[in-house]
Amino acid sequence: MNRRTLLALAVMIPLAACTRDEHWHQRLTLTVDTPDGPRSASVVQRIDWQGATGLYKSATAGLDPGQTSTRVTGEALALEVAPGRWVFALLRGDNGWQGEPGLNAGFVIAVPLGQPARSAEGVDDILAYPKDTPLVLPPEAWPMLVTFDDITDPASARRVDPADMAAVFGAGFALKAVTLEVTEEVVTDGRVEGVLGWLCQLKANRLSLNSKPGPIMDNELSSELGTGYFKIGDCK
Amino acid sequence: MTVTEKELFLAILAMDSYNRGAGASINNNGSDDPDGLDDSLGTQIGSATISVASSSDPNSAEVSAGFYAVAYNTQDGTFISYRGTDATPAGDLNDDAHHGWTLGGGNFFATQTALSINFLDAVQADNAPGSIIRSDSSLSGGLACIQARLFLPGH
Repeated sequence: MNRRTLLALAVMIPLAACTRDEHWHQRLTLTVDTPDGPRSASVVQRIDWQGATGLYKSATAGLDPGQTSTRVTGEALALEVAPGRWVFALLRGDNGWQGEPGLNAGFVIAVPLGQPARSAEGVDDILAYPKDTPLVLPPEAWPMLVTFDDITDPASARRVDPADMAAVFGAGFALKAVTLEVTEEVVTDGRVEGVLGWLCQLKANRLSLNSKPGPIMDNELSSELGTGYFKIGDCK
Repeated sequence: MTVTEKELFLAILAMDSYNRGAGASINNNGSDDPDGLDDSLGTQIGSATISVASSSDPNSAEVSAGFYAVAYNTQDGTFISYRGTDATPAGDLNDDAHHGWTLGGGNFFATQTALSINFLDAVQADNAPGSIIRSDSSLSGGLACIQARLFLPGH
């Protein structure tokens, strides 16, 4: 065991004893009206929640009012709205924290009960919520939607306005519903990388969708987006 | 000691890297907001404009190592603000300890050292004296100092 590992352990062991850790699975479902009728797809994601307790909570009280964090494991939702045309609901919100994975559950379950979405009390509400009971997500809690002009080219990523899907896919396409359920179903794994053949190679090299590593130098969507918005966890 | 307007503004920018991007410690949109202020290029804070920002992609090398930096164009030149040790979320402290603190003990191969040099290189490839101003505090000060030694020997 080298000196660096010892130092990291010296910091991590005391902190690990000062947190409360919880997790749940949640199923996101997207339904889109198309000229050929409604199409939908679902994805199950795992949310890990950690809250500071004890000495660590006291020591960091002024640094983060929430003193909690949520982390998602799993993958984006992939829905084929027409042959060869896909829309992806990413592992991030479209406009604000309400759409972030995990916080979206807090927003529709805990907040109406008077608890902050990522508080310990809010997580208790999520864990106690009846399983496999769909909740309609309001627009502020929707995930970011993207598509690719060329599914084989990650740099061709294009944002999809959920209020105007027709602008990208054509007349007759409209987002019908986004729902969320707390579930005990297993986490979806392997679907998105099956559709996006380039995903795992970019992920292994820690590249953005523009195939470059490192700092963001422009406001192009392919520069801002990395593989972590499509998959977090090991590729198959 | 008199603090000039420039020094005060640069001090504000030095702390601004804690308030933007992944793991930001400011909740500007309510106590549930985990990602702080906008770090899109072109965003303004006072007279400064964001010109380069670290990736917030959860799979990026930067987020994995707890590293974040942001660069601004200011009327006094280009300014880089490196985020130092922080504890938001809780795991960030472990990341900083593992990937950054060991620089203080002479480990020039700490992951955050390489990431900070890559960031400087992206902001400006040359090493003209005085062209870049770097923030200075704790871990981020260590990152800034090692760059000064590497890019400007003798300074």
